Amino acid sequence: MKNRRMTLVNNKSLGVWRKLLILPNVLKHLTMLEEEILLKDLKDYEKNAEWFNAKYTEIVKKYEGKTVAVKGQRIVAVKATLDETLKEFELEKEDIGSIYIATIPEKAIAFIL
Amino acid sequence: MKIPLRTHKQFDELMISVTATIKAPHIRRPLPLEFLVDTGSPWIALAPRDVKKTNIPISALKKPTKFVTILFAGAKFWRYLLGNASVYLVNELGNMVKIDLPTVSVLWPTKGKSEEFDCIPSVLGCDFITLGGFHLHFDPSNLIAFLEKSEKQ
Repeated sequence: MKNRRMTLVNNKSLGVWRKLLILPNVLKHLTMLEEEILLKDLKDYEKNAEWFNAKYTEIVKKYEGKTVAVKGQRIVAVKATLDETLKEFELEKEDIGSIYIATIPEKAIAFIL
Repeated sequence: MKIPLRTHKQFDELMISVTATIKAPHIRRPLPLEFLVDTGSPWIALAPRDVKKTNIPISALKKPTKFVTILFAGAKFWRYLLGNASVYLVNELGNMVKIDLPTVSVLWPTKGKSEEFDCIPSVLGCDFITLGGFHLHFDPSNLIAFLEKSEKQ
């Protein structure tokens, strides 16, 4: 009986130790996964930004003063403000990781930083 | 190692931008953001539009001891600090590059609605270029722009 109890205790503590030993590996894999997602988002966002820049003159004429969202190299949303755009994506539970969102300035207003 | 920069035309003239993601304790979901490369700015700074996109809680951030209010794009902003930040960019080989910074500035208008400033981009300033050990190359005639760093650094 005593031996059986000892084995149970040992098995239990072994399980905890195993979990503790696995934890750094799990964290390492999670970090790797997070970095893969970050890299994919960065590359997709860049493609959308390049597409937006190539079509800038056309987009400005059409959507002056509005906020435009680009995903998969096409316009997926046009709203009056950035807040409205972000709210809509939030309601749709859409991840904005790779979406390029830009607010077009009103005609004849340029920004010098 | 080179980090390509995007040359594009806005307001009939060229500007250079780069896509980067910032990871910091107050950013729950790091997102790619567009930064205008601006050697006229002392700091890398997040404009209000990107503060909203990344959902940074302004009230949780501390103000610096120096240069609390700044003038930017003709408006006055409070400057807050995002501590222990890492900036992620993509190099010419398509790999991710990480640059650790002690702080990233976060801008919020001192008055007016934040919507009024949604056109203003975030900027990649001199602190990033210096701390990252980069050289900035910009050849507007040939539409070439990149940040370069020797592998030894």
